Amino acid sequence: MKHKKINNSLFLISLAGFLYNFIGYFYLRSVLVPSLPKPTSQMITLGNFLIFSLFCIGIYHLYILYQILKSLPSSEKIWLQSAYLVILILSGITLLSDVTLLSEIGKEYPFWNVTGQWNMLFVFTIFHLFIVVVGFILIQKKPISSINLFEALKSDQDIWFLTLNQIGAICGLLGFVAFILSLTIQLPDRFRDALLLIFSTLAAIPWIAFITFWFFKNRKKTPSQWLDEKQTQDATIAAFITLIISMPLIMISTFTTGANLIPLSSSYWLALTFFFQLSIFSITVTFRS
Amino acid sequence: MELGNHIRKLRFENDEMSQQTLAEKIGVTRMTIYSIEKGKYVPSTVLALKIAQVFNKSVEDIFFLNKDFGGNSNET
Repeated sequence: MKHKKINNSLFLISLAGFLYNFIGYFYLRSVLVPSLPKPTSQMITLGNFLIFSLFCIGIYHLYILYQILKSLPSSEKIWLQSAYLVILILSGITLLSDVTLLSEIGKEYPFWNVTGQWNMLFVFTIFHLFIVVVGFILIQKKPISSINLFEALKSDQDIWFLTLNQIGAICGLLGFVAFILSLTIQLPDRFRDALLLIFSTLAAIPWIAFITFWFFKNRKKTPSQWLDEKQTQDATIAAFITLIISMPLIMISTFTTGANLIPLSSSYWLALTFFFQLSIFSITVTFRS
Repeated sequence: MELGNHIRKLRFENDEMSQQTLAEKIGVTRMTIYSIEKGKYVPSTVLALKIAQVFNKSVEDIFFLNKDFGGNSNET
């Protein structure tokens, strides 16, 4: 009951934060004009509260993350939860982007040519709102049969291995989306490379976070103790399949880069190969589990 | 899969031992026990011996070949 009260309270605070931010963005967008030499103290105060509001929403993101990890469903629905976990982490990271965007609007690009930043803020805010509402519902509707990931970590249950690979599969597919997006968005090459780096990092962070924690947890064990014999067999077969399937891609990237046939820099091939291999490996392990 | 087993039956005969308990006793994950029971995974000799030790049986009492390969099939 206690966690429901905390959940309700944090959800209401976050909703108030969203409402405040929407109003704040609309207001500031209309009053921050090129003819204004610098923002008034009232606008600066308003802006500071926007940051505070984002901080509260960030706290609720962390709370949702904790609660979700505490009660992963022990059924097929775990796929949905894993997908939500990835998107939740991305939403949390993009909260920091909101702060950067606000900073750019207010300081680095004082009111000139900032329509793109405003649009991104609105899109991100709707994205955060969606994530928070879904998170609230998921916490309210705890699965009947659930597994505490923190307990599973202590007792070496297979749920950790399964979740890690599901997240790997989702991050790999997200990486593909990042790759395609950075190719299709019309930008000068140097911006395009930066965009690829940002998108790829965002897509990979959830998986990197999970696998880093996994290595940290197993730091005192020998590699042969990391997995049990079936997990080792699954990982071995998945690695073999990944190697076979990704060989043509690696050969194409080597030849085309050498002969300059496809105008893609090596960073694009690296991102494509990484996400491709991550997807194939994780999907194979998950399928075999 | 050619290898059958009586693990599920033996678990229930041993105070309805759960897959998780058996997994913890022999140092593997629950999913591995599930896969062995379902015949999706053939355990190593060491693991088969550990399972036999838990139930205080011989390996042949627990595992059997589903097809006759000219050897002694022990399916019951």
